[in-house]
Amino acid sequence: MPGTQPYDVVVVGGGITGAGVARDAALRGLRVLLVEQRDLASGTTWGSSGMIHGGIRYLERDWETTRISCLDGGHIQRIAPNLLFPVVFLIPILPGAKRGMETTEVGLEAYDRYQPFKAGRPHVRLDRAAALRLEPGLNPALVGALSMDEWGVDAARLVTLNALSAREAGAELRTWTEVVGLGREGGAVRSVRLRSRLGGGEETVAARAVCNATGPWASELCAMAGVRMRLRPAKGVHLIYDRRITNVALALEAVDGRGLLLVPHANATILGTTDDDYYGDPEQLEVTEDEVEYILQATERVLPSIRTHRIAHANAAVRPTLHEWRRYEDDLTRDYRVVDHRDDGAAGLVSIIGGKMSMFRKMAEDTVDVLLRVLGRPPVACRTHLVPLPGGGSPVDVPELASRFGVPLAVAARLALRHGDGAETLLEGAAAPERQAVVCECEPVTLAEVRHSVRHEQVERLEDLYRRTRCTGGACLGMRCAWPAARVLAQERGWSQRRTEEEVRDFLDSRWRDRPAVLQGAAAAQEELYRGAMCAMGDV
Amino acid sequence: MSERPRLRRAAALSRLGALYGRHLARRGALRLTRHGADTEAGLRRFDELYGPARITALSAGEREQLGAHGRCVACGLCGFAAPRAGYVRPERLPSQLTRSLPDLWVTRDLPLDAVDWRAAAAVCPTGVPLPAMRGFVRERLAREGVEPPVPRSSVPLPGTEPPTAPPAPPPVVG
Repeated sequence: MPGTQPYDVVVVGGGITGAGVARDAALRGLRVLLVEQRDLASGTTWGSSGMIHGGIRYLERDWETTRISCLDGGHIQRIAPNLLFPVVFLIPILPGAKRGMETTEVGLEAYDRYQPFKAGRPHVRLDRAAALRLEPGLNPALVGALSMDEWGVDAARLVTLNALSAREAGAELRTWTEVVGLGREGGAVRSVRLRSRLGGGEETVAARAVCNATGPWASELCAMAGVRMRLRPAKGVHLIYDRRITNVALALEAVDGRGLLLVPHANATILGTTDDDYYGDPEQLEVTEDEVEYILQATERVLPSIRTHRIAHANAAVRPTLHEWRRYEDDLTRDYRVVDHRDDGAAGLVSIIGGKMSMFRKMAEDTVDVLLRVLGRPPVACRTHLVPLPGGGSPVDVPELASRFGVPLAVAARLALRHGDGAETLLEGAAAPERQAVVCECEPVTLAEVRHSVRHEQVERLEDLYRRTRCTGGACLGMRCAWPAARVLAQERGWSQRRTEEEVRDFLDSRWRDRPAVLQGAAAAQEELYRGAMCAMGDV
Repeated sequence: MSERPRLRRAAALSRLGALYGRHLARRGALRLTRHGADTEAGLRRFDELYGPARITALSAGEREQLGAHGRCVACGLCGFAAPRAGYVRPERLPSQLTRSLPDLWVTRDLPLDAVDWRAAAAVCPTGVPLPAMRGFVRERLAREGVEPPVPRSSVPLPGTEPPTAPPAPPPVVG
């Protein structure tokens, strides 16, 4: 055991759940270490559909859950108003649909009662003619449509802001650090053995409690404490388009009756998802052509022109559900559980399993309530719904920001979305030429923002930058900006030329894995050209 | 408070059933009084709610064009054929400036008409309709104006209050 003071809580898992728990725990005065084996939001959160939604489907099981979900959506919207953007759904009703116009509208009338909790708007009923005037690309056979709105959010950025807020409150963050063992003292879990994936060897840290927020890896971590937890992991795939291909989101139905969503997400479109049992390595996921076809077939029933749009890339992630979940599905009104493993012989270990991003704040609140009890501390009120996330303090006048710092509106608007009222500080702290120098052409992301992110936002590797800023995620798929972005990392981290080349190569390899199933025609040829040019140029 | 999910499910479905009955009665009355008025009323209401956020209708022409907008593969050839005008490098039109329909307003101060879009389109290997895209932006902004989307207030609408007593958390196993 090390001689340093133990952490109150070591939170394992840097997704939305872990980051939310770390923030809540830190704000309640606990000494927190958040460890993540890869980068923030690189696990299940990475495959999120990017929405804070109110859980309309719970109206068929428990109205209270929908009410809580909408209330929590309102809290999230208030603490990060810059980061959330409206996603307005059209629910098209096709002939022979599972739920007709009247049944669907009744559900929305019920949901309307809770929309005000999250600054949502009441539904609108649209007849066939109105729906087709709103979106001419819809299947002309539709009977009508109903609108419903939710909030969209950059999930990775939300995780980042929670983690940074935790750090501001005194938590320590370590990414690219895996847990290789849990140590016991007197039968209780009292230490965590860590190994950095960036070199630097192993280290043991003392902890009074360990929070397992690892999602698909939950059973693996539990096993380190001798606890058996069976999961039934489900793989989900999303297709990502490089622009909004519709102005409204669409609710879709696949051939097997599953619901899918087409979501215009800021300046992209997220389309999916699949749901297949998966027992492989959650870090070695690939997108298959079958999965792409499944999603496209569901979409073309509602938007027949979907195949005329070029898919930019795809992502896959694993959703964790408890193996016994299905058996108890009728018994559960929420999708998550907080498990104190004291009775499993592992006092000090608490797992938070399941859930959805929309309720991350509430999940974290419930988890920290349990952690306080495990630690034998008196209850402390949760404050995560009262304290704005970084950047969420005050609204930003984008034209004024652009004018004051001499940056294009396109740059200022994206800065304001990601950084909120922190955009001003970012620009003030940047060298004047770097405020305008564009690194990522598609987004855009300037050199000023890249450097700020590398210095202040826990960026260790090139792929981390994508999650922080969307740099490398646009139409060029990173081909134009991977090298310039890597050079900033190299400057800030003191990397050698060789190290920088390896970073770019690893980055291209990881992005390639997500693309073969969706690359078509000219895009495939273009990617070969860029990769070849980079290899010739940098000996990658 | 202990959970009794089956009872809650029954209660939820029962509430929905009651709502359904009232809904059908209301729809029946509306049909008698507003037959044929639904199209314009629905569109007006949608625009009232979402127009300020620039979540607005697409024209048939715009829908037809949108598929071609995504053809850009960032090869950069258009930049050789047509010089940039200030911030506007030709490739930025498809790859950056037209990605988000509610955010086309960011182009309002850019010299889009100073770029030779025909020359740029002539060398595009994937057939991105650059001149038509320039027209797309012009027409959409003429229709919607050039002000930024209005952010929705984060304050709840009047008459809604958060609960004074939080509900019980889910059961902790262990």
